[in-house]
Amino acid sequence: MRSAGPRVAVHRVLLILALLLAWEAATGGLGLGWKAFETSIIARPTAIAADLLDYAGSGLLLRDLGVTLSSAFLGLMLGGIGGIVVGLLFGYWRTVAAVFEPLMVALNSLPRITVAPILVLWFGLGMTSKVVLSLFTVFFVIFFNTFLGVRSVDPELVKAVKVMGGDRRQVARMVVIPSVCSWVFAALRTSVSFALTGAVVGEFVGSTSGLGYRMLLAAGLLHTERVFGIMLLLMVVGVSLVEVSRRAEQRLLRWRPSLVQLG
Amino acid sequence: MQIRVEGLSVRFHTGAEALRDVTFRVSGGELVALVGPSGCGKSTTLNAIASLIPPEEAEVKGKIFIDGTDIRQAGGKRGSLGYVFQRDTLFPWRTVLGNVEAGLEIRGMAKAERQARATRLIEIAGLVGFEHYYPHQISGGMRQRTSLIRTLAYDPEAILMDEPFGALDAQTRLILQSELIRIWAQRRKTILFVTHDLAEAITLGERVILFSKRPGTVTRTYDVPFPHPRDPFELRGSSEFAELHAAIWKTVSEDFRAEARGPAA
Repeated sequence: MRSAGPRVAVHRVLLILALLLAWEAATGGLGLGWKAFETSIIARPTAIAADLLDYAGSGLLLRDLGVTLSSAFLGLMLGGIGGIVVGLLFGYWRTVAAVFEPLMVALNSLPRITVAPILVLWFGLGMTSKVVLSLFTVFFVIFFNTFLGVRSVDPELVKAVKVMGGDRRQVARMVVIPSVCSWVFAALRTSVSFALTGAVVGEFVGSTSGLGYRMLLAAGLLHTERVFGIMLLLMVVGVSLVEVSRRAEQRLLRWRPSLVQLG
Repeated sequence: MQIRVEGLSVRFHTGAEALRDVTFRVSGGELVALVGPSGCGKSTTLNAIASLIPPEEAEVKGKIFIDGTDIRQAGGKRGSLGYVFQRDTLFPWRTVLGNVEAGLEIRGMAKAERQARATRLIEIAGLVGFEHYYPHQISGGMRQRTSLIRTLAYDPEAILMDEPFGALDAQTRLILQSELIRIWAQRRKTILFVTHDLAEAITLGERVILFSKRPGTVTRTYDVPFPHPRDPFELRGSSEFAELHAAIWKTVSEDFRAEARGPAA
């Protein structure tokens, strides 16, 4: 979180506590004998916490979390590398870009997760289909940013390198790659959450492990506490990953005026 | 390094004729100012000398000799030329130090040597303490100073300058002009300095070449008799400066009036 004043921090904590208390009360907790929601519809926070401890104690939580995170991580890496490579290709060769443009636009307008069922058909219930779905969602973000990064290279900087005696390779190293990196880093946050979404949705569609799988299983058994527990867990994981990438982005792009001042 | 331009004509494929039959020379170690109205093809002239006009952009005719070699035949003479652009073209992702080192890096100089050389120039330019600042963190004047020493760092034999101080306030401009004179007097590089400001041209140049409106061509050349190294602050206030400025200005405005009347007059 961005550092706000201590007063704001206190108020934030109070807000969360108030929400939790209200939630607890509305689901029959705190000994008030009042129940606005059935706990099979909305689980009670204390029950969710107890169930999470149970889940963790059995060792399953760590395993599921590991599976989901490794799928997301592999998807992020492979999709990122693929996006950069294809983006560079398209950026450098105008003809390639012109010919493939409609195809890329069509693939990009396809809601990403709709390919999940076919991926399960192709790659089975194992990790591969999740990695591929995650990769597919990340790929386009990174691809478009790399492409724009190459295209928006400042021609004056290219001239400057040429005048200093630089060849094509040095132009790439000193101008194109830093420019592309700035675009890719700026897309890091979006990519990280896309990668996680891809992995979890992949697990929904067909899988035998992972947080998404465990959540779907719990929902089928009306194990509402677990569904809520995993949702909250994914929220915490998502927030942490986005925060880590925000810091990485800030560090890598510290030469950029706007980001430095926002920090 | 001597630069000789002979019968240079440039016509862009968009149809715009930028230069028509431009001929002039800059001797080794000379500081020549090229003056003309905006859009008269001054920058195009520099780009042609630096081999920065790709054939798919414009048709170029004429000859450009650098030290007697026709560079249009020889395929350019980059690397021994420096070019300071109108807008500073610093790499935004490199610090002041990293920018100054860039040309040396291209030449494959070892890191320690490169840094030592860059640091020395940073001292000369009065940028000590700002080595690790990024371009957006320093003022426009400091950025242009960094551009200038980035060019000096790799020790080119001739430097082309395209209105490098155009975007700066009047005072910073005078300061940088005196710095340029000081550095030039020490190193005696060949400098071709483009500006649209006649006063700046007279302040700096040993000779002033006047360009007409587009399509640009050389209309007149003036010798500027003031001895170097000059002090711009003092020179600007002198009556000799005012006289010369007035004399050149008179012919410039006559040329413009004649042009405004059109070719029929």
